[in-house]
Amino acid sequence: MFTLSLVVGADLILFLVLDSGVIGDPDRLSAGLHANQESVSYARLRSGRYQSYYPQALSLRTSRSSPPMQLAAVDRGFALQGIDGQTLATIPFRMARTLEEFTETMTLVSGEYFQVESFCPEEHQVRSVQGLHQVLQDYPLRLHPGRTATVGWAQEATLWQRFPTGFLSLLRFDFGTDVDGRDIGQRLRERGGRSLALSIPAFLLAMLAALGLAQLAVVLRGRVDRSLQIAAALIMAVTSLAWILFLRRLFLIDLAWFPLRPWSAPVWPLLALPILLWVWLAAWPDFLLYRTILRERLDQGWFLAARSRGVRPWRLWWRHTLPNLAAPLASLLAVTLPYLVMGSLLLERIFDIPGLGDSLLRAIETGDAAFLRAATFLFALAFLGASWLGDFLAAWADPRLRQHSPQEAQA
Amino acid sequence: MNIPLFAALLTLMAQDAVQVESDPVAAPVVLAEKQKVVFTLRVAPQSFDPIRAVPVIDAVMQSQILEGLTTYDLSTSPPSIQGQLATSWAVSEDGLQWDFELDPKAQFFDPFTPPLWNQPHRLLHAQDVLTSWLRQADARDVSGGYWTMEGVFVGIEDFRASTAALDPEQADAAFAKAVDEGIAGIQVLGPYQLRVRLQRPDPHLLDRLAMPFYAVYPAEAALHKERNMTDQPVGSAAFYLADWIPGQQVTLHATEQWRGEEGAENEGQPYLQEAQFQVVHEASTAEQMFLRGTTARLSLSPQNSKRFLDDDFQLLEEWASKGYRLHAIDNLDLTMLAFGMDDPVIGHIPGDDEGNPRRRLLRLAIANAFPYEAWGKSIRKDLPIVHARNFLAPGIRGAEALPELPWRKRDLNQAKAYLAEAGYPSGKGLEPLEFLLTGTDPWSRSTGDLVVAGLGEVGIRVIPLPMPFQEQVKRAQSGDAQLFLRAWVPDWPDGALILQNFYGELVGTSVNLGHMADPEFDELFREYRSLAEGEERNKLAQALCARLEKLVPAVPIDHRRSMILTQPWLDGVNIAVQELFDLRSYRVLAH
Repeated sequence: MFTLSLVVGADLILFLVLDSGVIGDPDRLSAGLHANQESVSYARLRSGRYQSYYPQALSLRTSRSSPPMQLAAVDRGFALQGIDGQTLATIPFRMARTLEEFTETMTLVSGEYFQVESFCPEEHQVRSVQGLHQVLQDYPLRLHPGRTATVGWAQEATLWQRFPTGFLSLLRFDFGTDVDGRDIGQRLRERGGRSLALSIPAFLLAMLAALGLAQLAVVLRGRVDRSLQIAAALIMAVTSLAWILFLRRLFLIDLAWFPLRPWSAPVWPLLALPILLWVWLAAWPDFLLYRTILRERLDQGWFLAARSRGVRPWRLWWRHTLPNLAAPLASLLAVTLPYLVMGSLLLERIFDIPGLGDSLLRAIETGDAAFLRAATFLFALAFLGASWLGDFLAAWADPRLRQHSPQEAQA
Repeated sequence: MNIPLFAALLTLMAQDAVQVESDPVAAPVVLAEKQKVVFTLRVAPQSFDPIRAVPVIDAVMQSQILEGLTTYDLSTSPPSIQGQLATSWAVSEDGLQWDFELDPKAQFFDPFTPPLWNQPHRLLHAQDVLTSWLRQADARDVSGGYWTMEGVFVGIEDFRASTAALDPEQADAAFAKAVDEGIAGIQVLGPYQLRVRLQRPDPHLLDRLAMPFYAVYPAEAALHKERNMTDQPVGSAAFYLADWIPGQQVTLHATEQWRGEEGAENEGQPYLQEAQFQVVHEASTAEQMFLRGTTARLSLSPQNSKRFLDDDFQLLEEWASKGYRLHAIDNLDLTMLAFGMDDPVIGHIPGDDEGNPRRRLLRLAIANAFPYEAWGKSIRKDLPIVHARNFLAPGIRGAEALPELPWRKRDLNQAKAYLAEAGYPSGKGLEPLEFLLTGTDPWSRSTGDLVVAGLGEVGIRVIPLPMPFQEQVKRAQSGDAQLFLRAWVPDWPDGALILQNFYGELVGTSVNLGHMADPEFDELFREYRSLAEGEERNKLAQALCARLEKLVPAVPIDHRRSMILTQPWLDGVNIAVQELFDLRSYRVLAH
């Protein structure tokens, strides 16, 4: 139940964020640059935002002597506006509840200054004006003198109708298609594999490098420890983007130590430099963390006792120190693992690696709600999985963290 | 085709160039054994489906695999329209009926498994053309190209409305009926005969049919969705999709027995056996790949143009002596500073005879204060541009005859005089104007800084508002805009495609974002767009531009040029804005 709540919560938050239009209107984006009222409405119908849409629900015709006008949706009704924004007439909802009433009212508001005739096919006459209001919120209807303009009618699906449909599909691991009509599940598999090919070796190497440095600092102490700390501070002070660009330029272009070719097998030579850069950037903060943990462990009595008994350094490290570090490392793994799935957006972009990070960036650019929801869903699952794995590993490594029954605890 | 200014800049810098090559060298040409080339792109293609051929780069990629009824012949200058799938056509006297004869040798090639047919090839028929076009107009597909059909073919709007039926079965039935019987404006007369009926004469119909939205693919793919055209395009062109990583890499192989000819060298068969397109975001990486000989072309950008070009934008001797070739292309586009003509401060309000002259003077003051030179230096930087003389770019018929706009050069004294006459001496009394930027990126922000500083010199205060491109379009479309930048690339060299930006009937669409609605201009425009190229049309272009000069709905700034370098070993390079990668003529020389 906890898992389900967390996954529902994550998806709901994202759904609400996307629905608010904060990263753009996905339907408008999918309708393209030549989007108009009709094409955006069809896009809304396809995405499920509209339950129904009729493109020709109402026609308005202005007389030749009328000025150019537009019919716009305003708060609690409609407004007939001049193109300078001046309101010529308002039609509140209370005056017209159906399209039939709306057509009559439009004729009534006509005066000497402008004349508007309104037509509504019989099958649409009983429809609520809210559907007209819905469509006009996207685009006001432009009325040219002497010409007929047509506007559609739509019924919006409520938020609570739309959210469960998408979420239930996610639970079935049916991610649907993205804005390009491509199968999202397949895309996640292909791209995720490439991201993991970058991130897993990089993560493991960074962890080993950081542990090695931490051990050096703790064992040798003194000048070595200080030097490593200063080096870490200096390296971390420079922004990671600057490091990536500088080292990429040095090794890839100036020294030409790594191949410059399109993404094709074998891919390891292409991944080597990004992995090394990842290690370079991640090892130093990890080193500082491990160093602190190690120092705290090594100041404890058991370590001093072991040293005084003459236990050899390598045995001390493998037999005693590492197992003591396992619990914090497992917790770190739990936090980091989900991010590995998503790859490194920056490295993938700069080294043109077709991974998940690049896809996420494009999904945000294009307002690809389906892809973002699928990625968030998987991220939530990965986070939970990693969290459990971290707990399990920590408990396995440190018996003190295992759960005990109340009786055992009492004993 | 309207594309975001920034994206357009990147895209166009990332490909293109024009130079129809002659072959004056008498020495025999020795071809390399391996006819394979790699190109870099800065903008990623996303789909091979013609209903999504909106980004330029997608259209470029699709044109390697899919064909239309017509295409451009790059061996002429300017490129001329010619048949591709159509071998001939006849037009009725009223210009409303066109009968096309299709090439009976044209055939599809399906490289995917399982194949659509028992054999890899199938002859292309007129029915495939009908089905492909109908899918573009199907309301359920939310296509990016329906706007090119609306108001053109008889009955296309009715067909679209019928596929919009809420009942899926009704929509399917409507589509199936149209496929069987055709629609009033598109009829299959025989296996290789197609009839098109138009709502109004369109002198540029052949150009229209060369657009990627009119690409033809097997009816099976459209009807039964047996092929996902996004990733598995099946076409009739000289290349097929061998492999691709969406958004990253495209590998094309030459189609065997293209047009049914077997291994006939130089007779329509391409020389290249493989062409690979790789997205490279970093300009320095693309440059290195080119210099190491990995890639065949390099699009020059402000970051690297100084390395290759002198101050006159000619190739430095250092590179020319090594055999590198420079290609330059005029993009036929127009970048302009547009005014929101609905705006009560700066626009043109019909019937307001008192306020309109004042507002026109304000627009004139802005036109005279705009920093044209600084724009070239700080925004376009080290890439060449052509300063706009009027609204039509050089290369569009009739542009040469247009006079230079009197307010086209910066004249601060004149700007101040106009401003004072408008009732805002030194800008006093004028509220700050909102300038909608085309993005939130550094380039867009620098355009804002430039306009703020430039207009500030005469006392016009401007507030730049960074926003995503779609947001800018939305605001302008709804009439909520005062100043905004607009880059417009015509789909073919036709003045109407530029001037439609001011056509009143397109107010509220993403074309006429400035909301100009002038009955006199509209009347002239309707006549202009229906006329074939010629003296009469050129005169109308002058009248239309004179009207724009009077109303000042926008300030033309420049037309962009793109520069491309090609390797000494790459031959047969023909590039034009209409055809950025015409791979059919490319060949790799022994090196």
